[in-house]
Amino acid sequence: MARFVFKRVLILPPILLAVSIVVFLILRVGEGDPAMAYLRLSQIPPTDQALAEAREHLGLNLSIPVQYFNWFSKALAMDFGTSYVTRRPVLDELLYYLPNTLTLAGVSLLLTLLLSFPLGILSSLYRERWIDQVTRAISFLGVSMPSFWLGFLLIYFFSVKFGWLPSMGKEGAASVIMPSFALALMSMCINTRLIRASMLEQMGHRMVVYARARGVLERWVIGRHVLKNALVPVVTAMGMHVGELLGGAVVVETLFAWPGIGRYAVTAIYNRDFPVMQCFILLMTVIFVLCNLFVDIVYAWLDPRIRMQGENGS
Amino acid sequence: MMNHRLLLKRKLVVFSLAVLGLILSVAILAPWLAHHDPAEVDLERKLLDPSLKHPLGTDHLGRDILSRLMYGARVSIGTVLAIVLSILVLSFTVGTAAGYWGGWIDSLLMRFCDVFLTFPTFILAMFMVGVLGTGLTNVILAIVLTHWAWYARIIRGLILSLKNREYVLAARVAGTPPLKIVLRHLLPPVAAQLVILATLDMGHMILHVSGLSFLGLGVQPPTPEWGVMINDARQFIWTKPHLIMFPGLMIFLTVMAFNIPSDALRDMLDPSIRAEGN
Amino acid sequence: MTCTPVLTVKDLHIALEKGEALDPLVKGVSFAVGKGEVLGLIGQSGCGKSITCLSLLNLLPAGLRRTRGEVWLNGTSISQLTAADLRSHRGRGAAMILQNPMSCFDPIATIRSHFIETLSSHGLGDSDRVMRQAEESLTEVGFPNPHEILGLYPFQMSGGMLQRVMIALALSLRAPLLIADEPTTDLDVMSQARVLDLLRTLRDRHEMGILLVTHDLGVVARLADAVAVMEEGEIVETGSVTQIFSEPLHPFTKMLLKAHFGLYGVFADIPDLREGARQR
Repeated sequence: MARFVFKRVLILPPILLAVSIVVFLILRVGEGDPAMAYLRLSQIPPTDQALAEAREHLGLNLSIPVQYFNWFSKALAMDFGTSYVTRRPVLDELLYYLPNTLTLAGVSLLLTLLLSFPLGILSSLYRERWIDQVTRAISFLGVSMPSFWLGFLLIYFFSVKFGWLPSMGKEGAASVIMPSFALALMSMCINTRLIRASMLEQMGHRMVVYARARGVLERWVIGRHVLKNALVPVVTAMGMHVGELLGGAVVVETLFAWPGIGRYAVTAIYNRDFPVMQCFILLMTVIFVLCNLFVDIVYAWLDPRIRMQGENGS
Repeated sequence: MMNHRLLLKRKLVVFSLAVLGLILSVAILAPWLAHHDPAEVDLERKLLDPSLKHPLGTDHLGRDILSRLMYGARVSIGTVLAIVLSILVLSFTVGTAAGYWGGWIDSLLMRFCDVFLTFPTFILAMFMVGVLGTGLTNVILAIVLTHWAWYARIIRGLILSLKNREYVLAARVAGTPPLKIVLRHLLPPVAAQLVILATLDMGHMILHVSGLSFLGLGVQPPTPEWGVMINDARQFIWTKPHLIMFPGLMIFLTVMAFNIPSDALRDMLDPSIRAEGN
Repeated sequence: MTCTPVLTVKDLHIALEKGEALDPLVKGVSFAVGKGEVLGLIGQSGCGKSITCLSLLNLLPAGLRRTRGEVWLNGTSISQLTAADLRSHRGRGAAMILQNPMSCFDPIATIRSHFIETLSSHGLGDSDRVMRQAEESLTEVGFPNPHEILGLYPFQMSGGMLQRVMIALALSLRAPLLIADEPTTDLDVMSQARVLDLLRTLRDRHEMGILLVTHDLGVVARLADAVAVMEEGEIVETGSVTQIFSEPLHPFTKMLLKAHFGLYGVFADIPDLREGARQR
């Protein structure tokens, strides 16, 4: 197991390196002159002179590999430049907002797990009964619903009509309810359906027949064999969920004016605040990669076949 | 009892295909169906409630909502189709090149794919739009670039499994040029799988496109797109909530209309589900 | 042969539920297995042998139902058992081994945990006792290092090894009846021989009654004491193994034997069979 983890951790640096190169290249190749953006945001009139000075200041006259190298060495020291808008270090700004996003994502994840597992499992155990029908219907609807529309529906009913919950911002525990629900619904529904399908697939497996033929207690047949094996594909899918969750968080934060990193990034994109954009995508990708690594580790822990193949090298 | 479950499902699939057909027709025929020009600004008539002349009311610039929804269907469906087609072409090219030629080409292309797969898709799309600029073409480009890698991997896997089939080997031995082999022998079976994969993803793509537009990073006003319409209407949630309800409902219905048949398709192809039915 | 047979099946009917109608698959099957006796149940693939086995322990899959008939395990009628009693009879009253053993084990559980859960479900909770019992059974089926085997996962073992583990599990519960559903079908010749030898030991040393279900007449010839021939859900002939092989009465039995011997290019001294060969 330790060897497996070690091997997976070892390939992280090269991947992140490649990611940073791609991000850098996209930025340099894309439209929009960083110098222009810089001047505009600094409210300096873009005269030719000013542009030349800005280019010099931002190091845009150097060759691309050199630019990358400079950026990279600073990045290693955790210096991702300063925001064109606020003039404060980019990383500090992002890290200031990050906890809010993590709170939102965390509560959403919790909601997803707390609701999807019981419902998915019960749905599979009581097939075609009312709990299954209702769960499947709701899951299906939830998967098709755009989170920003759902967010508005929630705001309309709970803030506008009934005034029970605050419609925006982060003030007090109640304010996290609607945003996290809006964020969680899609992954909750996907997960519920996945768990149900996975459980049903396992229940038809010969190992269940054999376990029952040995007289194994039914709760062990379901709890150990069916459930544990059913978890395996579900855990793998969770990795993808995290990606969607991160993306969804941006939308939900914008909608609910939740002071998270996503909302900040959207503003930065409007402003063409390039250092912020760059650091944002790198940060989110690192988080995504780490979450996937965690998921892989859990997957290997659950399924010895993966662990052993992983150790012997694929 | 089993029969009526299947029957209900079939009715549901038929119904959603009908809805899909309806939306597609509206999208295609919008210029003839819409009573008003979706871009026609008339500040005298802004924020009207639903009436005979404007069945769904008007927005904050006096534009007829129903017409904008219809044209929005064009934009959404058209965009998604463009995205899916581009992804299929790109991923087929890369996946086939990697799978067929193998060796260093394969390694290189797959590393390239892997890098793209490392990013969270929506965030990458946001970033690309931020860099390339907003607007419809850039949205299409961004979403294609963020999604193609997943498809390319799958296609590569398919090609690898097909490459050593007898009929392919026979064609190679006979000296058939590689391009012909690819198009004649490899494309048809792969295409079938691809179409299915793409259908399964369409609903998801629509959500991404409208999500980007909602953030103001996608299609720009005044183009009538459902996500943009919702964004425009944000400020009126307290006073005119229907401005948000209708576009959102359209996204919801369209995504569902895509998801129901593709769900049924997935069920059909999954032997374990079929065995259950027996 | 002693008093009550270990297994008695009388007029067993199993049907497939097709909507409102019932499609009969097993139609009035009756047989018995005595203590220390091997009954070979032979027939073509799909004739209903496997579902007969499953129904003996009430393990029929959804959609299949026992519509008529009685099954007695050690003198107890299983239709009169509660769910809890039935569960404890499975494994303890009658053990089962299945074909394709790799797909029968939990891929993410060790052999040890398979033993623990089986024995614990039948009240032998003490972990030391469980381990001792497990190692004893594994040794008896021919594993020189049972301790090592216990730590393995199913995917680390071959089909033949897993089949022997299945037998070990059956042994550890000391069931008087073993239902063996095509135990040698997926195995290579050497593993087949080992498994059959083991089954013979079970019959001789432990006096287990064995219901051996197979489509392979060679297996039956080697191990069975009595034979029941099944065709399309019905038993068409029963008898001792020598009887069936030397003087088959039913045309289906004769056909099976002809095909079987034909494979080896051997034609036994059976008038009908030899004629069939000359006509070719």
